[in-house]
Amino acid sequence: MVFSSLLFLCIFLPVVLLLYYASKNLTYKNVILVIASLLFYAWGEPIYVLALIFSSFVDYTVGRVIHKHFGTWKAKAALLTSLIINLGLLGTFKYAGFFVDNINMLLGTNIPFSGFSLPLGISFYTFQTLSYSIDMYRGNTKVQKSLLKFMVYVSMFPQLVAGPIVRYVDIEAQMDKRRVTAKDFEEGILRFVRGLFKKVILANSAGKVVATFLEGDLATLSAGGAWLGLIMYAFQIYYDFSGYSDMAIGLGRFFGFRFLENFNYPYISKNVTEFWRRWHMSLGTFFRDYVYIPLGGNRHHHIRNILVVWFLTGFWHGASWNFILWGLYYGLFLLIEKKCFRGALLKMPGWLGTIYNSIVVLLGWALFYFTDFSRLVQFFKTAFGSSGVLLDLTAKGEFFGNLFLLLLLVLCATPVFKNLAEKVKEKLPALYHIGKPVWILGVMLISFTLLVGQTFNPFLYFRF
Amino acid sequence: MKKFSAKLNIILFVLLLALFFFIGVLAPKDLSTVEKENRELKAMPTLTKDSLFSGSFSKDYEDYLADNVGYRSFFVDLASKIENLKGIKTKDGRIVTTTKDLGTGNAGDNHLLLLSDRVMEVYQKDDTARDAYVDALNLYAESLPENIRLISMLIPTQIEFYEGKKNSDSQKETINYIYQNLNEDIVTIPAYEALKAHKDEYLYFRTDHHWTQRGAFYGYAAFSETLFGQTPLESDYKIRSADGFLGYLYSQAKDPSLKKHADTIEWFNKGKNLTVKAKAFENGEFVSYESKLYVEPAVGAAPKYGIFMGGDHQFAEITTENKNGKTLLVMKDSYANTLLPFLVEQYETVLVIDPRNYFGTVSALTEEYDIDDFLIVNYVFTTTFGDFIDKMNAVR
Repeated sequence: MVFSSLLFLCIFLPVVLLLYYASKNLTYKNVILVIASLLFYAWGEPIYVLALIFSSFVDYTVGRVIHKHFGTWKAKAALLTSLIINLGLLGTFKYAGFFVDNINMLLGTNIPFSGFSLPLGISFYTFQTLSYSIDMYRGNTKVQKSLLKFMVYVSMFPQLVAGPIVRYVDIEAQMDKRRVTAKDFEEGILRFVRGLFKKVILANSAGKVVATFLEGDLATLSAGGAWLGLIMYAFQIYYDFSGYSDMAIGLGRFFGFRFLENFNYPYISKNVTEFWRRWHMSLGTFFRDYVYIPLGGNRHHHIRNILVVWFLTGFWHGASWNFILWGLYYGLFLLIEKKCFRGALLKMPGWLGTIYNSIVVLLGWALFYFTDFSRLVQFFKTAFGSSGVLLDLTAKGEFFGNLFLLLLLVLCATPVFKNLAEKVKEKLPALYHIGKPVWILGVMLISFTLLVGQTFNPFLYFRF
Repeated sequence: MKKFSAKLNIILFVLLLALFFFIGVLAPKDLSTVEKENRELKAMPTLTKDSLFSGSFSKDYEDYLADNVGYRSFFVDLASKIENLKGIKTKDGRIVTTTKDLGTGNAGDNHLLLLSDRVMEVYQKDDTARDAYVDALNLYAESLPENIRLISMLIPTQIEFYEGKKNSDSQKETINYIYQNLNEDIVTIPAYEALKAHKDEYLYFRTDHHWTQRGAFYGYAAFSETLFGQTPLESDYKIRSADGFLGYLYSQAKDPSLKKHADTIEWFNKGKNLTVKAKAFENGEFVSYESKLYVEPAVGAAPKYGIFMGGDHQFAEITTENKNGKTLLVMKDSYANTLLPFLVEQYETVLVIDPRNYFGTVSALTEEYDIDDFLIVNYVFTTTFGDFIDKMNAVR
């Protein structure tokens, strides 16, 4: 199931909220949450929901074993089990096809196996349960003895399918004490509405332009059309993913959970290092805390560690070489920034830095989008003029036809509206208090309308 | 104050969710959307072990929910209006890409040129399909009995005569190529030149991909002059019209500002509004029904292209009052529907088949009826539809 769908807005969310708030009993609330979340997941994955339940059960048991035998070889064995099973699940369902393809290519064999269909969210929930096991092993988090509560942690529908990757230690306190004040619920609403705005109004609209230019024959595009398509993709993926995270965070608030932020205006970054501190932050911190630092961080084998982490970051995004390339591409820029241009970066004027970062990120998105290498090459050929046409009717038409949308896409990527809202709240509080319900009403009604108008509406990050 | 404001927003949000629940689940479905989208609304899927575990139940249920949302046409129209706020239109127009169901079971990509007052389909030639079209007609010429005269008529579309067109291939080239490569026994009708000579008249709809019956009149003039040496006169016809036609391209382009440029359908009356005896093979059995040359719209209702012949039929037979013993067989796409009311003037019997779903074969028809002329009439886009051409071969 997808948040930005009629099913979710008209049936699932109203019913679940009603049931959740029907009783004050925490156990009842947790049961409702787990049942609703498993239903939410099973709706899209009627069979693979078992993998989710299995992974949760494994890590729940691992957690208890580590707790009971903390510091002994049994704890180590339990951690190893968790690693093998979670990475095994991920490796099998997500990467088996990729491995077989590469073996076939390298050895000239012809193993007839093209892989499994990817279970939704497996990249997220396996990492999530793994973080619990590792944190337990390190003594960084308290054990969760109740299977029900553990299931709440893993399966909770707000963050289940596309993040943010929530570490148990971050929500541990809220597991047992979940008071939702009116202010909390309101913040949840505002966050949810912001995410809906980003996904339905911004991302989906940008996505239409992307489809026009990047899905068909690349060789006959105009150069302008190719770039317009790529720029729209950069916006689409940002608003799609950050919008989903916003909705997840907002929904989490409805149930008394505070998730950590996942995006912080990444496109205003002045360099690539900063970009990765603002983009998909829960993944970045996961790799930092569980791979980079254990490997030695910037103290031992710095270059090797960076390349390993970025290889894995890229690979996590998809079972295809272009994703690995995309990860290493960033690893390279990060290394160069850290090793060669440290001083220069700090002295560079902000606007120049933003331009530099935007170019690097935009080109990176091309690497990310085209899983087929020949299409990637053709895209760049066209983008640099191979078709001989700079702007054709399609490009001009789409540019002017989306002019105001483009303006909105650019503005919303900066904190300008957030700052404006804060100024209004300070100077004209009455206006601010009127503005909130107008915003909620407007976004909810417009999004609902657009959803009825559109029929097909998947999240981009669903392939993860 | 803050707490009061927060509570108010919570109530607002909850009311909105309640509203969505009402509209999505409780409100009755909007039947007018079926009409506009020319399809059946999705029915509630059945929950079986198979449908559940394959994931088809959940997908179908969501489609069902989307189709049965209350006030659906209101929301779809409003969505179009909102989408049009995204930017501005330029004089050159813009290209909109949609998918098109050809009625052959396959859907293809369709590029539309959206101008301020009309929509046109952009023509992209397909040499492979074009050659297949030539082969299909030539095979008919070879397989038909000698006494049947085979006639080919290809009709250009609006974009061909639009000066501002860019990126649209030459339809003249396609038509000329096909005519030149047809078997010399096949008579070709110069519909292109006939239409070009009158291109400033209302020959094509602004919101639909078909030609108007006025366009068909000139096409018929070319037919009549080529085969019978006769030129029809417009003054011989009583022309009726109905306003407010919003055609297929309007619903594809989804631009509400086109509403002000709705089309007027004119139809040319001469003589009786003949009965069309149609037959279809559906659900394992033959069904016979009747239609007319012109199915006039109810008073006050918006007209549709279905006025002409009551739409497409698998097989239709028209018996006229011309006792000249001549029979015409027409194999066609929907462009012929406006042409047929003219064609009946020259024959005693007219047979019409739609190769997409005709249940018999042409050769069987040549044995059952004493056919004199066999007209294959298509608009030029059909020469790019490979699977339509396959069906043309399949009914031989």
